Amino acid sequence: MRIRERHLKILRAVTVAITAVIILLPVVWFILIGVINYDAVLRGSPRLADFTLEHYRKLSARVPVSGIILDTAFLALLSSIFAALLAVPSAYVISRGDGKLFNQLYTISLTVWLVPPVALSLQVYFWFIQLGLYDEFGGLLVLYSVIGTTLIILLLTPFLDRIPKQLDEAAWVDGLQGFGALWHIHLPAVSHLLLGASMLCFVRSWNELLFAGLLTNVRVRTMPVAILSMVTGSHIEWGQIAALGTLALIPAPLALAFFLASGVFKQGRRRASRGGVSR
Amino acid sequence: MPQSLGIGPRVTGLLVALLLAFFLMVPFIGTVWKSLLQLDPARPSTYGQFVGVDNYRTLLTKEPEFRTSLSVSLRFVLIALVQCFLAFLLAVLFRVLWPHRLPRLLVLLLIFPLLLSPTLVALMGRLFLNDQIGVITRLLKGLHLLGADGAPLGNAGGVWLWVSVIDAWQWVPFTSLLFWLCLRLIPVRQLEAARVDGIGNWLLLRFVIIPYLSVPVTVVILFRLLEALRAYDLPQVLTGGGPGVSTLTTSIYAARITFNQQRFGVGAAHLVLIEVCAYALIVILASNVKSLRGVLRRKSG
Repeated sequence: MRIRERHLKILRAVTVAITAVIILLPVVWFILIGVINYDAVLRGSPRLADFTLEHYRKLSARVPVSGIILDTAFLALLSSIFAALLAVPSAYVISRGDGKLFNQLYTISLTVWLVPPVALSLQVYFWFIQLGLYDEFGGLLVLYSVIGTTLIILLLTPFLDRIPKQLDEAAWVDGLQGFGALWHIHLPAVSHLLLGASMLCFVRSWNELLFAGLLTNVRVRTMPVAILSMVTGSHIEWGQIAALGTLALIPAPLALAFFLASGVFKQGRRRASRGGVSR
Repeated sequence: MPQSLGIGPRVTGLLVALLLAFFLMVPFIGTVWKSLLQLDPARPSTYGQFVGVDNYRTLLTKEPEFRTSLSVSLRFVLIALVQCFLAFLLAVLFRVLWPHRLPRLLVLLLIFPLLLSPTLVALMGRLFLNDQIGVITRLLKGLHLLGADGAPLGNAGGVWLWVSVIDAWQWVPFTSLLFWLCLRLIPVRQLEAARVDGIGNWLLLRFVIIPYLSVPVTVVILFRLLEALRAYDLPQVLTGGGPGVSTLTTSIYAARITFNQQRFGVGAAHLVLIEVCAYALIVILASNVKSLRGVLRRKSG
């Protein structure tokens, strides 16, 4: 059964359009609720006169918006940098190492990544209280770095596996080994993937609710906790929540733009075409 | 070439391995130990005493909500399975429409929901399903599918539908992308060769398609099921486990008895049970992932 090319084109366009509407429409409406007044939300069809920045103004009077953004962003940024620093050599020894231990490291990373966070929460909570890390920036930073490390190891190792071993040997003959080989040979080949994985780490830390809600109180406030704290109470200001939510979703489109710019997708295509040739 | 690995990366790898193993084992052992103690602040006279398996007995016999939370989580996992099925159908559609590569716009769209915080997605859900200003609520009322004073999230019977719809909005797109990548693993030439040989559809499925797909598809499904098992943010923010106990997943319930009621002993017992279940799934997954990594490596060599 062959579908004619013209029909295929129409079907493709329709599929993309339907996907775009289903995925983007809720987000667009949510962002709109942050910038229109309550009457327009009730009416459902905003006019130009309904647009207002009032929600943002009230929001910044109510919660320390810039402090929350800075806290969350620093936490996410630093933790993804630490995660990358720890994960790259680990992924390298998993990919190139010969010992049983290094093979196990991949499984361990997978397990840490997949274990329900709530199962770890009790002991982590007691540790934080005992070590005085409760409601401290450093505590969450360590926690997110560890979790981020496992994510980067998981994503990066298969791609390091694909770098031909002959390159290692050539580098070794030229006197490069250890960090030198990693820095000059392997890292350039996967640098854009590493950046992509770190970006995912960033987003994951930015979005994390369970540990942030459990282990922070007033000194450190991250975005999800701040949003959630606005929902409690009898009267919920949806306009202000939408405003804060809009600020909270900024990293998502940024990450997408970043994936596009860094060529994560291009790499996949190049590999696909090469695979086709070699077969 | 073991000697080209160098001391530096080896030491770092070792340290990370120790760190992760510590992070994995010590909280678990600590939680198991706590689950054997009496840590209820409401009974200070015996606080900290060793009570054996009493906490587990309490959990299994005296806490009716424990069973409820188990069945709720099980339902969550089943819903994730249904979502996987839908995502697979979607992936087949994508594969028919785009056999070689997906348009970038579509890939970006499919990744996007997962980059949003579950907290935020759940809040959007609450907003859209709000009984006063919710778009979906008003639409349903306009179509007379919902009574004039009905609230989608206030009905213990129907709330499930909405939790799963919102969960699906976040997860189905990305899962279908993963399945599309799995489908791409089937070499087109082998399919064509099979066609030339005149193999019937059933044999093609049995001897060409399923062998290529079984491992990666299992991995994706297990990933998704684990994600459903640990679901905390979305149901917590969307419904808080309610109305009543209709969406009380084990994660929410465990967090509630552990941190809200501060019954650390019983809570620890529950966390141990969750972790054991998760480990069972992870062990299956881990054995599959090893072979998946092997497949990836062989392709490059």
